[in-house]
Amino acid sequence: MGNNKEGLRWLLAELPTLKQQGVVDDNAAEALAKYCNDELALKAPPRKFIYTLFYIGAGMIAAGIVLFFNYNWDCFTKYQRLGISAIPMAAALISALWTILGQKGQLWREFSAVLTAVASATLIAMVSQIYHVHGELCDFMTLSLALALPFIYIFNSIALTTLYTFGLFLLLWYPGAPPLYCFCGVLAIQPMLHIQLGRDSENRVWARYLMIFAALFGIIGCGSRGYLPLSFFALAGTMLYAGWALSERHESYLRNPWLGASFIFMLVCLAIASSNVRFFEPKSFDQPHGEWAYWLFTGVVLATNVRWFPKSRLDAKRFCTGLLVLLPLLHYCHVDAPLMKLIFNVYMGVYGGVLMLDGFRRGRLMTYNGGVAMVLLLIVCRFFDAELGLLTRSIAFLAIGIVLIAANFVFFRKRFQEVR
Amino acid sequence: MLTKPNILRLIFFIFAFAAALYYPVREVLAFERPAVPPVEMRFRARGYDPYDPMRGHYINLNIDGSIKLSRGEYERQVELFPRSRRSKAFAVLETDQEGFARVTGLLPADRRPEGKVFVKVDDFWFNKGYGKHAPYCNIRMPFNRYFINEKLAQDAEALLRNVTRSKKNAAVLVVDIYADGRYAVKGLLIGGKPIRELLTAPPKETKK
Repeated sequence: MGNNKEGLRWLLAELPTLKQQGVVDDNAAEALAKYCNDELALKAPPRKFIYTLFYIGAGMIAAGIVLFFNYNWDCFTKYQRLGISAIPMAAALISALWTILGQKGQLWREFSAVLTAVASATLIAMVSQIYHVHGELCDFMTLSLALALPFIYIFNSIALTTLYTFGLFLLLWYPGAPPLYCFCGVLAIQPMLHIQLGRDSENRVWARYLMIFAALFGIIGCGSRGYLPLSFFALAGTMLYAGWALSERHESYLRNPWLGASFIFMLVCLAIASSNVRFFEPKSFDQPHGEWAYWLFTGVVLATNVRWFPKSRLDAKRFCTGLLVLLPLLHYCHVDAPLMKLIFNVYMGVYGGVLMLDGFRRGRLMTYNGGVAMVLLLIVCRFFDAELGLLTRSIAFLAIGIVLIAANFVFFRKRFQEVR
Repeated sequence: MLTKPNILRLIFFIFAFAAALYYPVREVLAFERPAVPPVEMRFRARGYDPYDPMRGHYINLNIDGSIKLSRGEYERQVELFPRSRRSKAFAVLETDQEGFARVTGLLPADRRPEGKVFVKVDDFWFNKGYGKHAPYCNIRMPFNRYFINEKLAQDAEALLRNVTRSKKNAAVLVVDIYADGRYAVKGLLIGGKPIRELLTAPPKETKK
């Protein structure tokens, strides 16, 4: 946007010279000048910036009002306190009716959604405070998020979706909401996120980031309550497929956070799987319905994996990613944990090599570097736990170093020739 | 004229708003107009004053909620509550000879103690009691906060600390216990007087 504006100004400044030199005739110069002036005049202010400042300002005002009443709280009787606590709800009702009956735009809808959800949570908190009823934060958040959910859909609000997604993490606050509640919480926001992820939505990039947080919450709240490798690698594989699908649409890395986030998540999980046998020991389902939540979450992730699975163009790296989801299932064929660890060591080396080769063949530096990172991580992990002598290590390091430098040299030579 | 999406939006909003109001209104009505009048119970209390950036100062109370158990009772209770922490239970309350409330039993959430005074608890743990020490169950009572103006909170903490050090029964938390196990804190008494009254009363003039 900024560059276009500068370009238009440059063109306006250059027009007299261009006209003098006969590059453009009078009519064309006039039409161009009119076009540039109109475009410069019509430049809309950056909407998202205004929204952000609006929300921060509204939040600060709300916090100030809350603190002011908090300071003077003792002056009021119980019924006055209840009345004051209900004021935000009344304001939310007026704002929402104004928005719906007046058929207002998105900014009003966002405001009404956030105000109604916050007012409802405030009223619950205040009633508890007035009667000195002690409750856990996770219980309060469960109720508040459940009540906020309808307003997200009614007002189609991305701001409330954002608050909801980050608020989900408060369900994990000690003693933590039951895993089945966590699953329901993360599942309930999925339709909204999928609507926002649509190609027509102007919030699709932000929705991609939110989806990462929703997935992270899901894996902590539900996916970490049972056999970790299956849920963790299923999630990493699914997001990797989705990230590749987006990168094929030539989305930049900032607009496609799934690729980087899932790759880093996969690297961390692979490093643990190739180093620690305890990773393959299933966690006991110590909470009510923990097993249900685990299998429901993992089932949804696996179903999404099948949906993103690239059936038409299954190359080596995508095949390896598919293996990432299938290998943990060996646990259910009574393969013991040390053997699983060995399998993941081999897998990591092979997958790293496949990525390097794929990047080399297609001339994609990021894929190549991803492969290098995976191989290096494997080497570093084994350096710390393999009981090899110093001489053996030294020779191994020299050999690997030479191979990597040679591979890099060949890769860059190929790229240079391609560019030429 | 409202468009069809906005008509739907209005209808769903009315339902959602009613749902959002339902819980707080139900809570207020349950406290203000209970079907069965609440039983007032008095708990011995100790306390300190933590700080919270949004709520300001309040007094965090330490209420004794332990039950001494025999070996047999201990075994039975541990069997009854395989996951002691994070599970819901009913703590049965009785008044002792001095007029203070004490916990006399713990029942699982599916066995409601009919005809008795009880509160819902969700944090308790068992101690096996080694050597000559008897086993016991420790229950964290749910009413462990008393909100107070931040200007008074530190004085309140000092007062509470001083009186509970010298007299065991000096600080008393008065709680209304309702028939369904919910509760509402009525007040915190120091030496029989409300703590707010003591802290806001003008200092007595000393005779010369």
